[in-house]
Amino acid sequence: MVALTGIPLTIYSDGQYYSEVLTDRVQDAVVTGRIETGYVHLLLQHTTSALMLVEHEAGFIIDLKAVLERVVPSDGEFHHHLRGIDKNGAGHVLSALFNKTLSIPIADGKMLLGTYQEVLFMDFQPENAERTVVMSLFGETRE
Amino acid sequence: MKTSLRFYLYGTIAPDVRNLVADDNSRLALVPSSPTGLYLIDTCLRGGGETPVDPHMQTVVASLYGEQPSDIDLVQFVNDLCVEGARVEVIMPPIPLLGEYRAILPAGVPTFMESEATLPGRLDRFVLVSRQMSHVERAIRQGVPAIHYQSASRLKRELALRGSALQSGAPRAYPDNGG
Repeated sequence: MVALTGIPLTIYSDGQYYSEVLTDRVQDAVVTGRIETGYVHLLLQHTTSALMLVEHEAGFIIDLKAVLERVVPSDGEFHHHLRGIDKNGAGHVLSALFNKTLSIPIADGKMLLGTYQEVLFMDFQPENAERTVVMSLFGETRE
Repeated sequence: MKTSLRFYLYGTIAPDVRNLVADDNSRLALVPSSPTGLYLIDTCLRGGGETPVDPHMQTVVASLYGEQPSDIDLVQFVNDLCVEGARVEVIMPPIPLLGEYRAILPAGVPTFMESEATLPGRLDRFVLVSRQMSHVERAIRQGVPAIHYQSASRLKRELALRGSALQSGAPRAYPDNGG
């Protein structure tokens, strides 16, 4: 059993619902870590973005944005703004509705994702930002 | 029944891909289309040259533009399809036929008016493919089917799904059963 923790995965986000599929980068880490059986854990270290397991289809992304905008309008009034530091109240609320961690089992050196599941990062921050997902790998390695 | 796909490929081709394709010009040919580095892939795979339009062929049109350099994936993708026996033809882009799409093309992209006369004008479906989500979103908001390009394998899967839906007639409500 090995544990490889704290592997950073950097995302250069444009903000404003920027989305990026991370599946291949995570799978690459699984391969590099030589994990044959186990699981990979992801932690997104931010409070205005999210990790999802979804089908990455552009129409869906647009639909999701439309729904989220209706529920949490980015130009809405938020008590968070009264602090006078930033204007990302919508981002914080949206982020709270989604996962910031994911755990995905690994078998035969591959993540056991469903056919259409992708590890997707989405950012609700109003402006661009550098984001970090910390990966940890646990399991048995290849001989 | 095999799904036949017709791809109109259009994009910025990186030098390494250009060389790769040039080495294999019996299957693919590049026609320089502008001094800005934009190139067309302009021939038919498997046989090359002009291929009569099959009016019964289900058509999926893919366009990649203004992007580089991992278009090498694209070449691999096309080759993969050929290996699988899918009918793939790559001809001039139908940009002029699709007036409404002109608005979503980046500035400086030629209109290729000459291709207008030679194209079949029987497009069943146009699918815009781009690595730029902003392009994809813009297209979809205008009612244009579009795919956010992530990798050749994912593009292939998505086009296969769409091609299958075309072939079966009316699009199914849930072709992937929600995954």
